[in-house]
Amino acid sequence: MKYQDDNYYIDRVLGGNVSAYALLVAKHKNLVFSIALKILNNREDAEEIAQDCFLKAFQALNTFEKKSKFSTWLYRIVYNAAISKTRKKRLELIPMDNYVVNNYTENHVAAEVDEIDPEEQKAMIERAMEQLTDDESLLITLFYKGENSIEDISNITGLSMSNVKVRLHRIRKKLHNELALMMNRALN
Amino acid sequence: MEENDFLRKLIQQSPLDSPSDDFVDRVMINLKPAQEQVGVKKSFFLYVKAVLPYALLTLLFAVVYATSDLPILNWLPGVEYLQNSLFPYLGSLLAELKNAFASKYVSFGFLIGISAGLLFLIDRFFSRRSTIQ
Repeated sequence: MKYQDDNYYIDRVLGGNVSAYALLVAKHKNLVFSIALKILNNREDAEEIAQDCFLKAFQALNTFEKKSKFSTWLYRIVYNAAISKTRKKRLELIPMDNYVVNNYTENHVAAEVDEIDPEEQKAMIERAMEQLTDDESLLITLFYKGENSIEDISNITGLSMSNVKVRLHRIRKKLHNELALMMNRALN
Repeated sequence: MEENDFLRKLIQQSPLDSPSDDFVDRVMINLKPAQEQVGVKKSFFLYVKAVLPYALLTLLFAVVYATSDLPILNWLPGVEYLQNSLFPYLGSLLAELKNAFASKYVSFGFLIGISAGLLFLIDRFFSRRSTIQ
C-alpha cells in the first residue's frame, strides 16, 4: 500500500479513525526514537520518551495547525521531552568564526570512498559518525536521515538557521576528515 | 553540493536506530486511555459550542414572542399570560432569592462557588493550551 501524505492520516484520526494513527507511528518511530536516543544515550529511556511523545502528539493532534510539517512538530515534541528528561542544555549557539575550516580535498575523499565496496563504505561512515558528539550526531540524523530542511531543524532545536548551517558545515568537514584519515590508514 | 550529496548517500546507507518490534502496538494500546481523556476534554467545549446557538435562538424567540402582537402568534398563550402569570411568578422568585442573599452565609457560599467555578474554567483553559511546549 502506498503511504499517503501525513495530513491524510491526521484527518482520518481526527475524523474518528484512531487506527490510522498506527501508520503515522510506524512511519516516524525510527527517527523519533533516534532523536531521543541521541539525547538520552539509553535505549529504555529513549523508548519510553518516544512512546510518551506519540501519545502526547495524539492528544494534541487537534491543535496541530498544519502550518509546519507533522514530522517537524513531532520531532520538536520529542526533542523538548528528551531535553527536559536529561536536564541537558539545549544545543548552544556558536559564532560563525568559532571554527577553522580545514581545506581537505573533499572531492578527492569522495572519489576514493566511492571506489570501495558498499559494505565497507557503510562500516566506514558508521565509524566516522561514532567520532561525532551526541549533538552533532543528532543534527546529522535530522538533516540526512530525516531529510529535514535547515528551517525544520531550526524549528525543532530552537537554533537559528545560520547556526544550523554552520554546525552542519563543521560536521561535514569533520566527517570528511575522519574518512580521509581512514582512507590513509587503509592505504598505508 | 556534490560533496554534500556524497555524504548524504553515504550516511543514508547506515540505518536509523529502531525501537523494539512491538513499539507500534504498545503505542496503540496506550492510545485508548488517552483517547478517553481527549473525549472528556472535547465534550465540555463541544457541549458549549453546540448549546450556544440554541440558547441564542430561544432567547430571540422569547423576546419576539413577548414583544410582538403579530396575529401569527395568536395561537400561543399570548402576552397577557406572560404579564399576568409568568412575570409575577419570576418576580416573586427573584424576591425570594434576594431575601436569601440577605444572609451573609448564603452570600459567602455563593461567592466561594463562583470563585471555584472561575478557577476551574481558567485551569481548564490553560491546561488545554499547554499540552504542547
